[in-house]
Amino acid sequence: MKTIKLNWPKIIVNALALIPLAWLLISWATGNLGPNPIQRAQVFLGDVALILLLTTLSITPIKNITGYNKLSKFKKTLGLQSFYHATLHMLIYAVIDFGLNLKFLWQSFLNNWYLWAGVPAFLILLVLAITSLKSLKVKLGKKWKPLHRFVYLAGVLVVIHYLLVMKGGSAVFSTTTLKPLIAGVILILGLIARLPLKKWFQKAPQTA
Amino acid sequence: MKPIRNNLQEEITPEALFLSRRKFIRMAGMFGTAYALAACGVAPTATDTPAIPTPAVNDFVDTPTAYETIANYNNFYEFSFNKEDVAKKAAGFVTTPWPVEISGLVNKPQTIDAADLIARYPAEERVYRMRCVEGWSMVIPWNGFSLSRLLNEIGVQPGAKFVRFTTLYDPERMPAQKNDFSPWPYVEGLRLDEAFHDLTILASGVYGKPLLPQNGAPLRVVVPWKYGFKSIKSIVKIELVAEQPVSYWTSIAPQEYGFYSNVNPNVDHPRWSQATERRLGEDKRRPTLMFNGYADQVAYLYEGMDLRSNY
Repeated sequence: MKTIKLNWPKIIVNALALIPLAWLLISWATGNLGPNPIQRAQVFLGDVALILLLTTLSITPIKNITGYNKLSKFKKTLGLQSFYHATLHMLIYAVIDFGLNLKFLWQSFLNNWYLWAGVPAFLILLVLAITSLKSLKVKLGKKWKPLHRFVYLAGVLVVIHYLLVMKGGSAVFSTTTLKPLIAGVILILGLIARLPLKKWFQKAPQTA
Repeated sequence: MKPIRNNLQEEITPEALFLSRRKFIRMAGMFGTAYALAACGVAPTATDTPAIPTPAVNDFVDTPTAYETIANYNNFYEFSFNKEDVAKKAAGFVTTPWPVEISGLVNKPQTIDAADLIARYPAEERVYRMRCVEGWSMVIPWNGFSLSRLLNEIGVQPGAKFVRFTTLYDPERMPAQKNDFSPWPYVEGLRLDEAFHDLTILASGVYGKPLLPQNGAPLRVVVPWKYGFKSIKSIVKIELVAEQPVSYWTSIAPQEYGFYSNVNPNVDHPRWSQATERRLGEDKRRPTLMFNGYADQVAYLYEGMDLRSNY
């Protein structure tokens, strides 16, 4: 019989990722989320999901630039945590806010542009979460990696989703509209860091 | 005095009872049980005055929103972009003296202190729904008087077609005016017949108390059938003009925020649906009503107009 070995680093990362959620639940239960707790919880969970997604996406660029690779094993953990928070973010919208009123939800889907970015982003995360199962990863073989690169598309869609929710669009420049803009910058920097810049720079002298 | 139609004051819930309801709603929200709220649908109402029946499209009751909520959930970008931060940033805002300039196409242009203006007309209580363009709403017991009373007194000249209101511009006192690219000062406008409508008031109080800075002290406009941003706060200027004023939000995003901005569940904001709203203090959305439930009183103002192109 195999003894179960606890993976402490993973447990700790999961626990850290759940701290904001714990705070949220306690605040909600004690009535400390202000006059519009549903919206507060919704925005909060969306923010946490986005931060976790950006953290996940930053691990490889950090490795590429600094060579520090000890974070790579947390990519899956953090990616799944982002998915869990995105799920709660969506459930609050559909179940609590709209009370699963399908007519309202459909109306809202047709007219709320931000859902046209948010829902596809969520579906991508859903597929990636399911295929993060070891057995499916093995089954997908070489297809797994290109499939999981879609996480970048999810990131881009989430930033668009966030920008579309803003009252005045990005026209009203403020700390609130800054959040999606900062996320966008981090995302773009991460993508640039993933380009094979080193190779290009090394090749440059030869072609000159 | 002539009774105010669709004044919701007959449905006031005693505040203590109201607060305990709120607590319950918070707990219910926590567990996401929409059905637990069914019990809350039956709000006790005072029945001395005949209740104006809420339109039959829904069985939702209009209960005045808690003072605490009205005082702590504010869109007032002159102080902060964060609705729950405005009250803090506006604390200590001094509103005495407060000269209000009344000018333009009027027979008696004048500058009068807000306190004198408020004292000139006895305050009535007007319990109105307030629907924000963002999709949330409140029910607010305002104290104020019909703008038409002032307009009648100052003598509107025949050339005047619109009223243009301006909020104070003073970055020292309204700190968020300093660090923003917004086209300050905040400006709003009404067509003359809208401004003369009995439902349109100049408010100076809420729940019988003087307006708090975050609610637009000392004097603000309330137009209950339009999205909240039309009800301009802390006004320093009332001008009668011939041209349609360009309001703050229209100048920022003309395709999203039009001059009329009447509450209309059938005309969506370009980026989001306006069919439903979240009444603060409740945990389930309710359908938004045409003209915010004031269609019987104001629909005639827009007869023959295409409300989709005149958003």
